[in-house]
Amino acid sequence: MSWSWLPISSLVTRSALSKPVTRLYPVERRTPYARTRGHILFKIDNCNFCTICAHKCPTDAIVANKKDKTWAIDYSLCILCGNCVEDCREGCITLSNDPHPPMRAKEIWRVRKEYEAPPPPESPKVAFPEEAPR
Amino acid sequence: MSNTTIVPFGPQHPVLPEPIHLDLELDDERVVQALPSIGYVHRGLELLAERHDFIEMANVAERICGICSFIHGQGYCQGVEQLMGVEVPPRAVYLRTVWGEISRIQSHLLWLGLSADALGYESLFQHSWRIREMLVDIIEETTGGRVIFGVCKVGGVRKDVDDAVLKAVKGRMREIQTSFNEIASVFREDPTVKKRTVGVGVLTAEDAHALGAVGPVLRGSGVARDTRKLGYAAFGELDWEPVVEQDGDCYARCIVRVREIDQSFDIIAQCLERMPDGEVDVSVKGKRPKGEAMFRLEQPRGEVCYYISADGKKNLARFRVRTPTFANIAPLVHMLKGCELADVPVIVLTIDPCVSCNER
Amino acid sequence: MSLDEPFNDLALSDWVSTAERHCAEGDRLVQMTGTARPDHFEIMISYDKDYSCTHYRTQVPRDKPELPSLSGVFLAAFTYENELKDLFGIEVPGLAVDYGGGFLRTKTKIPFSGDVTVKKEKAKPAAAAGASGAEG
Repeated sequence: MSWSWLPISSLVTRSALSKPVTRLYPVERRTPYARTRGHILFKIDNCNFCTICAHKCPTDAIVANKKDKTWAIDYSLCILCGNCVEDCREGCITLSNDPHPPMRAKEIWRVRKEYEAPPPPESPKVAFPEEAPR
Repeated sequence: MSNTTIVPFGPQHPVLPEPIHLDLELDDERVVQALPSIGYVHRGLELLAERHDFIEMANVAERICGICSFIHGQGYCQGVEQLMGVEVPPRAVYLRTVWGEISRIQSHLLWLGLSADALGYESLFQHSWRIREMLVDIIEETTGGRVIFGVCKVGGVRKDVDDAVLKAVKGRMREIQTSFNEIASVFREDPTVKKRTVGVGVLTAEDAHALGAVGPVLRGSGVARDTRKLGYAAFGELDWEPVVEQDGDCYARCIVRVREIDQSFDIIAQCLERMPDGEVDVSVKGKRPKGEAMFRLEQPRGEVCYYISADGKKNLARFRVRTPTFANIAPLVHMLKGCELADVPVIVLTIDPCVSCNER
Repeated sequence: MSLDEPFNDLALSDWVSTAERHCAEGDRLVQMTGTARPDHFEIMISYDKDYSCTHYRTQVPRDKPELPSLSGVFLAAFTYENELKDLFGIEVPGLAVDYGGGFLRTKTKIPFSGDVTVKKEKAKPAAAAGASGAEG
């Protein structure tokens, strides 16, 4: 045994006596930072369906249709680059700080102008595969 | 009649987070020859560059690797900017340097953790990653992403960082450095670490040079070569020297990384001290890259080369990346010759294999 | 940052002798890259000494793609040459460690050997499928 054991033993003793640095995740959640790229939100009210967001999207996650006045985003394709947020002239697209809830299947959120209000973004339509256990 | 046994190592192995396969030819417990093969997760990124818009490709370039993501994006953007003749504002250059060094520290800390794990030193592994987590928090606060920074774009950086935040980052960096120094002394002095690494997998300076080793593998063998000395980004204006260790064994490569973390803290402090004011991006609208050039950058794992060839169209004619792990495969094969089977995981780990980087 | 590093053209017959010269001068093999051009494959190689690179390129004809191996001069070349072999289908006689085309396990064999005029094909994105018949 040499004195070189000292650094690790003092470190281990200290962390054994102090409270854990980790969080009990589902119970205790960290507040996201102001810049955290969580997920894309869309408000259809001002949208004039210029389709710039769809063109700028590097992964083609956004599909906007001028004729049908529809807008759709595939959350499983979105890489949160923020191009659509920067390029939207009407300010319809925003970036939420909250991470998108875990996906069990491909999630596509579709909105159409005629509808009064878009569905709440916290609970996007989940298309479970048929044989998936609920 | 040879009396050797072939033991397959990988593509699935506890010390390997990524798939590389090594056929180890063993004579008793001693490795006679090692044959590597990669390509399990080849993604065809180079071909993708010929089909995508060069501005969109910055997103793809950043995803070449999950650990050195920012530096890949930086290298790609620097290359395209140079071909277009775009001068990036100084503040963007300094921000890139700071983010690049933060990603170097987190990459080295991740590696130190993994290597401690390969040595069987679980508590050291946990402590390395605890410190890394503090850095990842800084990355998330300043850029918005934990792994993929997503802030580098052709023409500068996407987001500016407030001076108040930078000041807070500076203070937190000092705290992180203090906690890091505690575990650094463990890596430097602990007998467990030394017993597993000293004198194992020796690569002499001549061999390292001849086999084209890069990064900490080369510097651990006593060759003072660091591509940052080319002076890209802000490195030409900062005060630093490449870290060199003479022994060429696993311990030397480990210590090179420990010392490089210290050096990166110093570089970040210098950058934050000199952070210029002003714009963070310039418009590249209507400009197209034309010509061809080779760019080299220093990644946490070593020198990375980008060859970009463009003919004034929307997409590049050829984009080629030579990642540091690719260059380090030949030295790895050389180091494995004549080592004990039990040392193979440690030696494989000391080149910091980022196999998926390899598979562009 | 501007690197003033020219690309020198090289005849295929001088490929190995240039490598030997650079090896004798104590240079380091940095990288080897192939590029598919319409009528030939372009192979590029870089040697480095004291942070300054020298690049060379040579042309390998498409009908007889053969490149003499450098792995006898620089052992490090074997990984690059195996990669050239797997991506472009170039034969490399004299390769020190030959994987016989199994180094890179790509789905499409020799993916870079085809025609160089690549048309951008845009696959129909998944979100488009239901966009017209949106369900809100």
